[in-house]
Amino acid sequence: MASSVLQPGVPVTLQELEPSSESFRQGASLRVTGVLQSYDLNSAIAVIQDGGASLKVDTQNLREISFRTNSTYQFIGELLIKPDNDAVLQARVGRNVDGIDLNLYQQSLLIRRQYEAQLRSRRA
Amino acid sequence: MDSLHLVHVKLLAADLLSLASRHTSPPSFARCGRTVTRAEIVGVVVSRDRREKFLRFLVDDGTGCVPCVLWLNHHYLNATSSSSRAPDSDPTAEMALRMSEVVSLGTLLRVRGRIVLYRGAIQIAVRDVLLEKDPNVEDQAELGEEKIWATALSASKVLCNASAAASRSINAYVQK
Repeated sequence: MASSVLQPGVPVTLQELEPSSESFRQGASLRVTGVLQSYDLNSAIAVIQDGGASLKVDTQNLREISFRTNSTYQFIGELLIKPDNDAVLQARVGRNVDGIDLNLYQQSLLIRRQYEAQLRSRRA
Repeated sequence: MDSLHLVHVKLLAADLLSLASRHTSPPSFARCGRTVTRAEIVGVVVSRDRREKFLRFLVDDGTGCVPCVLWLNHHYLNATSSSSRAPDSDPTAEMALRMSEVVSLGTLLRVRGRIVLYRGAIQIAVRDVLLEKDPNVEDQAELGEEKIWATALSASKVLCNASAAASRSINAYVQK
């Protein structure tokens, strides 16, 4: 098990994944959540959406997960950015999170970031 | 003994993995000046490695990946310690096996266990594993952990201030 290699999937919202964002970098390990808009069986590319923003997710490494449009999914993986700034998350794991409260999720993200910033400043 | 000694303390992975190790036997760990020996984390299984005697897996909560080990060697231990009980009827072994089946890639788990050092790195020697079906549990757990530690930090500050005030009073009394 490559525990030293595997980076945690840092949770981000889809709206935050724009080229000027800190999270938008090649190979970044991210955790994303969104409603499934479409799924292509041949390419295994899923498109998820949240708050007007969308992201392509390459799900070819995922097994035992069935995709239903309008269901909510969460993926952890690495961001692959193509030359035209088109980003695809190469998912390592994924799960159906129907019933997730996205407001609570975003609130928890904000509080967690504040807490992590406090921890970092305390350690520095 | 510290009151947190036997408690499974709720921690974020980043906190757990940065605990300061104390040179005791068995090793103990410090967080905000308190001794922590057991931990509880909530996260997604991102790696799984099943061997004959144990299951190793990684739990990712977004702040870090925590290595966990679930021992499945009860049959071997029982074979040497007790010949009267059939290995298949050992409830501990059965429970460990059942828990190992819950651990699969992409599932959200609550893991509790002892904090141990393995090759210099912190990991959890799993006591129990709970499959979390509510997708909001992780967010609620994070909010709870942050609130608990914010309270603990302010409490430790109050204690430090109280202790400093007490030692100042003692010094003043002794000097009289």
